[in-house]
Amino acid sequence: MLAFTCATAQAAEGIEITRASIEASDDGYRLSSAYAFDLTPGLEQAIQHGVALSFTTEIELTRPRWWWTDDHAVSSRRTVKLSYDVLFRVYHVSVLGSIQQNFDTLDDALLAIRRPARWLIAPKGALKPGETYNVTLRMFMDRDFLSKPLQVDAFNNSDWRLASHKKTFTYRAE
Amino acid sequence: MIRALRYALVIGSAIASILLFLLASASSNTGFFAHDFTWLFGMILGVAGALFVLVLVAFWRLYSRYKAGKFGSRLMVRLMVLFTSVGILPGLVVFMVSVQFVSHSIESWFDVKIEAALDSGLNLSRAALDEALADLSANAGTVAATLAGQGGQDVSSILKRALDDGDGMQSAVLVDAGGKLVAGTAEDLRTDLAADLPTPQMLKQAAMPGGYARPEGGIEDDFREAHGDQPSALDAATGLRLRVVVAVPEPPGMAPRYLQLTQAVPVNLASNAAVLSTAYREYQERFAARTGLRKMYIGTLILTLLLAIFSATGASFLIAGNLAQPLLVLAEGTRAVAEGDLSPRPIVETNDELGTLTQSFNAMTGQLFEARSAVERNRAALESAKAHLESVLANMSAGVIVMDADGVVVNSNDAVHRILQVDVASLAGRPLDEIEGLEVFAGAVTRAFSAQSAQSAAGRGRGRAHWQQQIEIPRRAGTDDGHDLTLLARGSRLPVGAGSGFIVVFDDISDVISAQRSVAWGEVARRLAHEIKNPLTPIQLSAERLQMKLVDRVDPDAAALVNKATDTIVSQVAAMKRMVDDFRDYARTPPAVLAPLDLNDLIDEILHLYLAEDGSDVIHPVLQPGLPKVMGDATQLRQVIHNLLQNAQDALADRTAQDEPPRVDVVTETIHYVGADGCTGTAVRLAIVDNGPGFAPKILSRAFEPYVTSKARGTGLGLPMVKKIIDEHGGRIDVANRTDGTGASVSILLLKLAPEANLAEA
Repeated sequence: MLAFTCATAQAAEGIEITRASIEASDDGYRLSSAYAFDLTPGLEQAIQHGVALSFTTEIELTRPRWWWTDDHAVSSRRTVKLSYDVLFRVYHVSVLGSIQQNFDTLDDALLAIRRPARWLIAPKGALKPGETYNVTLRMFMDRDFLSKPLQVDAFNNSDWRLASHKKTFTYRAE
Repeated sequence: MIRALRYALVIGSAIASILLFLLASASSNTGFFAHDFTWLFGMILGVAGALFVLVLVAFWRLYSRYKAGKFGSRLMVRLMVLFTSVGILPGLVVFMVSVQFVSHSIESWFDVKIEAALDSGLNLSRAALDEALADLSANAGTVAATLAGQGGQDVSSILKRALDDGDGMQSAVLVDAGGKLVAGTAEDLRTDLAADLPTPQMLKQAAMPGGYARPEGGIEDDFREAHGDQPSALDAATGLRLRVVVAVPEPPGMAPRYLQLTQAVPVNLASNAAVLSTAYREYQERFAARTGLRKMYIGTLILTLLLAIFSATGASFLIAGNLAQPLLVLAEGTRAVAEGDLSPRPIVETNDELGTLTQSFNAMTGQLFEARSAVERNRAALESAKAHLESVLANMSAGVIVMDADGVVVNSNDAVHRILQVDVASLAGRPLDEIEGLEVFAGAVTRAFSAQSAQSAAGRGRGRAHWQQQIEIPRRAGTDDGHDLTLLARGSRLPVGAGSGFIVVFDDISDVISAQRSVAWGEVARRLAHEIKNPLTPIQLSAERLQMKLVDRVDPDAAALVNKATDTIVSQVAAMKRMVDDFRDYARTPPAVLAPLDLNDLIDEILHLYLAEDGSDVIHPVLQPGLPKVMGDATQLRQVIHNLLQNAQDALADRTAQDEPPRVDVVTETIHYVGADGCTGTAVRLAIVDNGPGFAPKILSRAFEPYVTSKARGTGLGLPMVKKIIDEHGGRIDVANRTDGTGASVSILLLKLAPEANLAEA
């Protein structure tokens, strides 16, 4: 079963990570990324009917150690929720714990997801300067936030599958 | 079925049941479900797969056993099919109905009318909001028009008035083009007006015709976890308000200003709209999820069905195995009984009929065992009786031939071989008259049986079930011992099985005939001697008287004739007297006077007369020293030895130079034998062996009959005399040719030993 989900995640397509880089700032390390994707017709219809969708971005920074297992320096995830208020005909985009943005059109709302603000992934001291880290980045439509029948449906319905491949790159900490 | 498979099936079924229960619970428990459904689903699939493999293994085992024709597999298969179908068919029916039910009931939840009603309600709410917005916008336009060009205190009073005019107005704010607060007033004085100023986007839109008009959720609702609590309708209603931003139509030359009015939506409208929108959203969500819901239910049903089927199959294996077990034990038992193993089978410990069956089966095998051992004992007894009978038959001296109704030999004993000189093995299965060498015998037997049949048919000879006849069989040509056989045969009919048979018993009575002959001869000789001897003396006396009276009265020539004739008569009469005496002696040998006698001394004494002691002797005595004394008549035994030595010397008389030197061995020795009563006995043997021509076959068989001789001159009474004397001594005499064919051998066995010799021996 586990293998099955992994396989679908690997085989899934739809989200392309067009840009990804880590920048060191005063308060910590930030991820600057951009994604390219389109909602499937099923997802779009679901949005229009008020079903909330969640997009989760996962990032993991590991440092290979030849004498031991890899050092999982940073492992962080962030979920963005996209919903439509059928009464006010407004799209809401909100990141967990932060302010909700409203958009009149779906494209505007999606743009906010495709080009998210820079995301603080780790505090200042989390990485050792000078070390090289392997960064694994993944972005997908998070089915965990769907209702249970939708999850079941999403198992074998390509309309409900939206995920990126794992993008890996190296980052030399500053 | 092996134990491990059994346990695996039971445990697998138990786990499957627990998981199914969990799955059923999970369907109704949202929180639990969301996390663990996948995991649970996988687990159940795994267990189902494991069960499937187990069932497959069980099936494969059963199939291979069935294929191999292993005993009991057919029964197992039948029980299996029965139980499995009993388990699976109801499950299938329930499954089909459930699937139908689920498919249709879920579809029936979603109705076009409900959807339309929800849509209409939503549109109604939007329309109501839109109308309220339009009212507020119009109001805002009016206020903005009054504000145009105004400044200072007027603005505040206008705003104040606008706030008071409208129903539910929350605030009225005037901002400049940069969005900075120019003046403002609020219903609730504690409200921080600066915190709720229009954003630049709003201002931008307000500058356009129509201005900015939007309903708002009011309080910015925080991002909530999707599976967290939904905001209640009332919460949403309290926050619901309308916001209108319009540009103040300033006279030319003045900086643009913007008026913002906010108005709370009436609570009942707001709450109803919120409820409606929530319901709409949930309905839509469920509508979107209906496929998933159906998949979930059907998946659960399928899993349940699979588990039920596998469990049912597994259980049917177990039940079939348990049911078939006693039957297999019984079947094994019957096969063992068929192979002859009557040992008791393990008893099935149940109180039902199967247990009783095995017990009675064991009782049956026990009885069988008893019966069989009884049969075995009887058979052994019969066999030993038969063996005894056969050994009696084989060791009896008389020949026995058993034939069936067609004259085919069924059985015969060793004596037949000995007497008739035919191979016993060649007799069986062949008609008697076709066996080589037995033509005469067969003819005589057949004739005898025919005669008996005729006799019994004629009604005579009642009570005589057998015939008796003496049969003379000429010796076959080409064999050495060419004397005729005289058989005394008895034949009788034998009821053998369904048909009749014949049994012929015969004995070689040649010796008896021979003995009778010698007795007859003895009688003849005695009478003849008596009759002849009487006139001999007068004849002799008369001849001597003639000689005495006539010799002196006749001329010398005649006297010579008389003398000659008289001498001839006298000598011939003397010879005849001697011959007659011989006959008389043979016929009336005086009874032997037995006394202890050393045979070696006797032989020594006799041999003195024959031996020259100069190396040219032909007689070589080999006398065993310490020979026990025998009971014998010295005079008679002397005559025996004389006769035998004489015979040997006669046999060696006409030898030519190229023959090997003549030789006669005289041997004495002690013989130990086992008597008929089982005690050991001692005998003395005397053998006289020569290397002459030996006995002629014709002579050999009748050597002891009087007047049988091979010599030109001889009465033929020597050996008969010897035989008679030895018989008187209670001994045995045996004449034979030497096995290598050179010479004859006469062997005398003296069985009566002197008492002291016996004592000494003991």
